[in-house]
Amino acid sequence: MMLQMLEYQRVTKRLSETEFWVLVSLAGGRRHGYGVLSEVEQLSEGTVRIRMATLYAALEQLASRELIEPAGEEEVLGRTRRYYRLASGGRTELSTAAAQRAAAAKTAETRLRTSARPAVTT
Amino acid sequence: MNDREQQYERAMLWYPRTWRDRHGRALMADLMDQDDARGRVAPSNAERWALALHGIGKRLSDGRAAGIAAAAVGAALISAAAVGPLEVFALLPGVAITRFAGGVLLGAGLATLLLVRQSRRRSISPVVALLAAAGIVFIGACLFSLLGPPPAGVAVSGPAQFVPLGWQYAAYSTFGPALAAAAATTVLCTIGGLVAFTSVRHHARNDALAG
Repeated sequence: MMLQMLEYQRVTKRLSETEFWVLVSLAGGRRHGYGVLSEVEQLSEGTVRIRMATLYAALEQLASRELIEPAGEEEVLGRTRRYYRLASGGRTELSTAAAQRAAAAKTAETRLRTSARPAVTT
Repeated sequence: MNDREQQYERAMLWYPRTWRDRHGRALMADLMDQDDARGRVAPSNAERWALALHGIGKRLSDGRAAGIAAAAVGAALISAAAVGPLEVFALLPGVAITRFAGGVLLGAGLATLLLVRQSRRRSISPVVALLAAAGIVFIGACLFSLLGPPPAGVAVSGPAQFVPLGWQYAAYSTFGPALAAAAATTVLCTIGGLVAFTSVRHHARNDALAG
C-alpha cells in the first residue's frame, strides 16, 4: 500500500522549475548535459540558472518517470558525453505543464487588467 | 588526469560509489565542457557545494546511510550488552578502561564485518566505511563504559557530559588527565592516519582506473 502510494506520487508528481526547463530544452532534440544546461539559461533569458549537480538530479528524476530517455554516448575530446531525448511521456507531460502555465499567466493578466482601474477612495 | 579533474573526482566522492560508476564519467565530461565554455580552470566553490549537497542527498535517499546508521546503533548496543561477562576483569586495576577496551574489540569486530561487506558491494567508499566503523566502535565503547558505575573520584560536569562521557570515565580513572589527553590524541591521530591512508589508496585506484 505504502509502496503503491509512493509509486503514485512519483508518477503524478508535478514538474519542478528545473525539470520543466530540461523538458523544454530536450523538446528541441537530443542534447547532452552541458547542452541542456546552457540552452536552459539561454531560453529562459538568464532567469533559470542550474548547477550541474542539480541538472543531474533532474535528469535522473525525469528518466525514472520515463519522461526522458538516454540517447547514446559520444567520445569528444576524450570525454564521454551522454545524450538524452524526450520520451513520448515527456512530450505529453510538457504539453500539460505548458497549458497549465499558459492558463495561470492568462488568469494573472486578467486580474491585473481588472485591478488596473483606479481604486475608488472614500 | 589533470588537476581540475582530480578536484572534481574528490567532489564526486560525496556520491555513492554505485552512482559514480553509473554517472561519473558523463558528469565529468559535462563539468569539463561547462568549464571550457566559461573559461574556468578550477571548480567553483558553488559547484563543489552543489556536488556535496546532492551527493549526500543521494546517499540518504538510497537508504544506505539510514541502513548504516541503524547498523551502527545495533552494533553499539550489541557490543555494549555482550561485554557484560567481562566484569570478571573488575578485579584488575582500571576497570573502566578494561570495559572500554572490551567494547572497542567487540564493536570493531562487528563493524568491520558489516562494513567490509558493504564496501565489497561497492555501495560505500572505503573512507566512509572507515569513518563509520570508527564511529560505531567509539559509540559502542562509550556506551559500554557507561554501563557500570562511574569510577570513584571522577567528577564529570559541563561539556564532558556529552558523547565521550564513557571514554572520559575510562581514561580519567586509569591514567589521570594528562595521560588521558595523550591517549585521546593517539586515538584521534591513528583514526586520522587510517582515513588518510585509505583515502590516498582510494584515489590512487581511481586514477589507475581512469588510466
